[in-house]
Amino acid sequence: MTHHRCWLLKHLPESCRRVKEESVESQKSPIPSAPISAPVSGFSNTLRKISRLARKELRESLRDRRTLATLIVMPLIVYPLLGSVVQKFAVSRIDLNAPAAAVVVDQTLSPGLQSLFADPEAEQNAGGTVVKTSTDDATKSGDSEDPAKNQKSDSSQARLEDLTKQLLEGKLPDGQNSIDGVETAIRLEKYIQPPGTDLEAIVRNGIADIAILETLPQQDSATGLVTQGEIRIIARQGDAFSTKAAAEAVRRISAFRDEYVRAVLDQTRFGRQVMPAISRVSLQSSGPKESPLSAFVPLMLVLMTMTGAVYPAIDLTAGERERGTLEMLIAAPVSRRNLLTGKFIAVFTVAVLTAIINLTAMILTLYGTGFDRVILGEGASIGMFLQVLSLLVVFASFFSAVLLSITSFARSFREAQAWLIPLMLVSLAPGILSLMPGVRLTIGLALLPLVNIVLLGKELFQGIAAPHLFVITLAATLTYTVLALRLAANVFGSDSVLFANNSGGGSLSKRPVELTNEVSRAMGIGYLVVLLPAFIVLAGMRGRLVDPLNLSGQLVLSGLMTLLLFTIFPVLLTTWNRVRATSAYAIRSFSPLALFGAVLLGATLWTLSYEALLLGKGTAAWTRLLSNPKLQELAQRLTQETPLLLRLLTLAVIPAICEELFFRGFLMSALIGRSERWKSALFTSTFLFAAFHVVVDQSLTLERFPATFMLGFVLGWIRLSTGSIFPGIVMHAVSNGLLLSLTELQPLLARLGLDLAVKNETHLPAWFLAISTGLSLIGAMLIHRSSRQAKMA
Amino acid sequence: MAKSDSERRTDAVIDVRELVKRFPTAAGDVLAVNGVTMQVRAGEVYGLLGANGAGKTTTLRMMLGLLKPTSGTARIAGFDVAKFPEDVKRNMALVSASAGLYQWLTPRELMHYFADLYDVPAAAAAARVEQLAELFELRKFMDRQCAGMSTGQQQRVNLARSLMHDPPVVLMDEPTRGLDIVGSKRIFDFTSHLKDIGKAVIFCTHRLDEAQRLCNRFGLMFRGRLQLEGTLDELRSVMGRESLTDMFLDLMAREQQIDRDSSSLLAPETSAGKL
Repeated sequence: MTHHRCWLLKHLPESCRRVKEESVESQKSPIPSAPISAPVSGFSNTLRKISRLARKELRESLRDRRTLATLIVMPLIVYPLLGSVVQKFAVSRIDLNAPAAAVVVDQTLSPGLQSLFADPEAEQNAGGTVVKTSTDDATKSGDSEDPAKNQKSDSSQARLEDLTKQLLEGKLPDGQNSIDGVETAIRLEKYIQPPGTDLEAIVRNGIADIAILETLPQQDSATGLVTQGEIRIIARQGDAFSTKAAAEAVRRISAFRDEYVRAVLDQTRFGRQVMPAISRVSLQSSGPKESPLSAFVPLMLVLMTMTGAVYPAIDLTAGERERGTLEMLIAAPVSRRNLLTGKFIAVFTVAVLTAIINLTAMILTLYGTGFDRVILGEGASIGMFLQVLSLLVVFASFFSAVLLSITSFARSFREAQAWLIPLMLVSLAPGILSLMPGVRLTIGLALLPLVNIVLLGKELFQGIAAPHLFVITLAATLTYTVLALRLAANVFGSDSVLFANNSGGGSLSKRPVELTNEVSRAMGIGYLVVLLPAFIVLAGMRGRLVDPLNLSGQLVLSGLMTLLLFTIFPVLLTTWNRVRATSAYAIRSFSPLALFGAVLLGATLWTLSYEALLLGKGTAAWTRLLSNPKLQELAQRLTQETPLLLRLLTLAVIPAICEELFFRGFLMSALIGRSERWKSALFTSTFLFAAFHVVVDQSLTLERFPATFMLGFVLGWIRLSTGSIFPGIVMHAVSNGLLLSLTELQPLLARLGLDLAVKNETHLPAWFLAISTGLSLIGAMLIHRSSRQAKMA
Repeated sequence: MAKSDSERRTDAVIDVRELVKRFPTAAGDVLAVNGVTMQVRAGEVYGLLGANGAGKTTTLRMMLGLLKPTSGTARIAGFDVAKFPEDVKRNMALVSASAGLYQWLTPRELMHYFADLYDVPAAAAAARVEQLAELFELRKFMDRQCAGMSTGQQQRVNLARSLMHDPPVVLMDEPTRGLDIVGSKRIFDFTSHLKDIGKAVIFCTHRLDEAQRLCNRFGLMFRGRLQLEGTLDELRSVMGRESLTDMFLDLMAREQQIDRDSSSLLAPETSAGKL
């Protein structure tokens, strides 16, 4: 930095000198003698610069009327409009004076209790035509008298019947303060279900309003003690009508029980001195009813947050390129990563502002229309507001990063919009999926971007969100944010994107002409980013395409899914990019020695993975909390209900071929890359292999991790040392196949004294383990030798 | 920041050696820049001339560190672009006709923004804004958003913005494209002013008549190669032609003759377009 000084006023050309002479004063202004652009370094300077960049982007965005329109005007119009429309159509749904509430009961409910609720078929004549009996007075007088035993019995019986009738009419029994008239009481109609029906679910899903469950008192045969019975009335949380109906049911049952106790005691020598409650009557709440609105509102918020971010994201990337300001910006001494970070902060801030304004407008609208009682489980609170807001903030960061990574590809506003349309459609689909009633957030769904946010939003509104799913959702979304941001930084900084001419598409859509041997890292990472959500969505769809009880159908679907995700799509991708299949998937010859080694390993290694499975179960007790006990049951049913051949095909052969082609072929090639990072490729691909096996049907089976990691590691090692995919495929198939046919081999194994049920948690005998481990080692040595021979040849 | 290997130092502020840029494209690799070597001293205006797609802009982008050269070196004010990209950027201004302005910012905000990006201290930046506003007659609209300005006003704001950090090297990439006579004249006056005050300037254009009047030395670029270099007198003696335009046409004809002789296909034009 040598020799330049401020020159401006010293030497001016003719045309400028005029100006100079008009302003003599300015000559005296301080002229820096040192270079005025001084290099400043350090972390704080980086932060300062990023904040400077972000502030400018934000200022620019907020001055733009189009940004302000989506930010403020949209929510102010959209929510009140939607609110009034929905109110018009849905107003009857929240009528607190509905004529009848549906009560679901079990067939086994005591007849006396059943008689307390009206029969829906008898609806027409029940209301007003219930004939009042004149036994009223009789029973009243009967109380004070002291009749004979059989008379007593009769009158007790009559009293109960009378009470039942009164209760059916909604009247209060004698001796209590009555609410006048039948009109105010709710008519309760009973719907009898077969024993064992999940009544709580029926209430939760809004099919019935309350459920009544009875646990009868039981006498212990040994001690002779009678355990207290229980009558539970289940109402829907946050539903006023259901709650009112439940209160009525409690009142009727309590009145009936009291009368019943009275009647029983009349017949005993204790008289009425003691009145033990035989059964406790308790009120319980089910999950809230899922109004379609309760999922719609979070989806709406998410969509509005998205629209808030879209315009600035396009404007600050593609727009900047289109206007010709980007070149000026990258000519400045600012790293492209910092430029992008500044833009990200600006887009994110606008998205968060949109979220806050939308959330506020939405809650005000809900209050105004009275829908808050339908959607919000426990009413709006500051805590819930903050929780939903934090959810939206995390989502805003995720979506801003995704947007930037896409708009960075585009060279013009219009092109960016064209790119974003598919993104919006793709994000709508899972959003609408989450609108389906009965869909609850699970661990698997909590990993699925967008769906997790909408579902969690729904459950936060209803006040039933599980804390650990809240944490998983936030963590997963933040992880995706970081990934998307890294992708965006790569795209934004790349020369091909910055200086691409207008003749063709971006580097993504351009198909190379020449064949290449290399699977690029971008291709590998890009496919992984798509794969995870696709894997979870397809796994979820499986149950909807084919009846979950049809296990053979499920197996076929799962085989197809593996084929599609792990082979067909990657092959299409590499073919499109003209990558030689032989190098991408390591399709190379191998020595028979290696094949023999692979068979040996496949036949013996499962013993170690079995032990590893036990280890995984045993050491990490907490994983049991996350593991799905239904999986064991599923495995049992699979062996009973599906043919072995189908199991072998869909669970051993297809996964062996497809997973090897993907994890040890495509993915490993991409990870090794030009810089030949063998070790990191081995570990990363093995980790991903194990991770994919942990996610099974919307649940995490963490105990599988050590076993699959070990298997994946050995498979990766075979691929690296033989240079071929085939020995691994053989080993994988043999290993999976053996495990699947274990049940068929059970008698044989039993003769050897082997008990192989993971749930029994019995270890294999030491001698057996020793032999199989020895054979594994021989297999490994054979493969090692064959690779040495190949190298020497 | 030390200038590390300064053994090859010349008095040239711009020192470019054997720059090569190869773009992989759908139709195979394209040599956009093929071994360009040039030196520009302080107080000199170097006219980098050539038809559209000759590789001028790609050469400038490599000097600025916006594109990574396939091979070769570029040194600006003693800093190697490959090693000290930020220092190189600090010592350079890029003036381009295709550059736009941030429509929602005022010229003052814009200039302060770029001052911050170039780490110009606040006090110096404030003084600098005043000076440049004076020089380019921006006073009347310093605090109005750029959206409503005329092309001429935008051009002046753009010039002022690009010089906020007062660098020793100024690259001008087709600066007169799309400008009217007044606008072009302003650029010429401004460039000769830069020359007077000792800046090293590279003036890229395909309008040879403009360049002939302005530049001290010339480099004629054709298909990524610097075919001819020298002062106007030197070029005249070599080519035996009076005007640059005639020289250029001769050069083109000669190239095409070579192509025909070797009966080879025309080399594909560079694909490096505008940003």
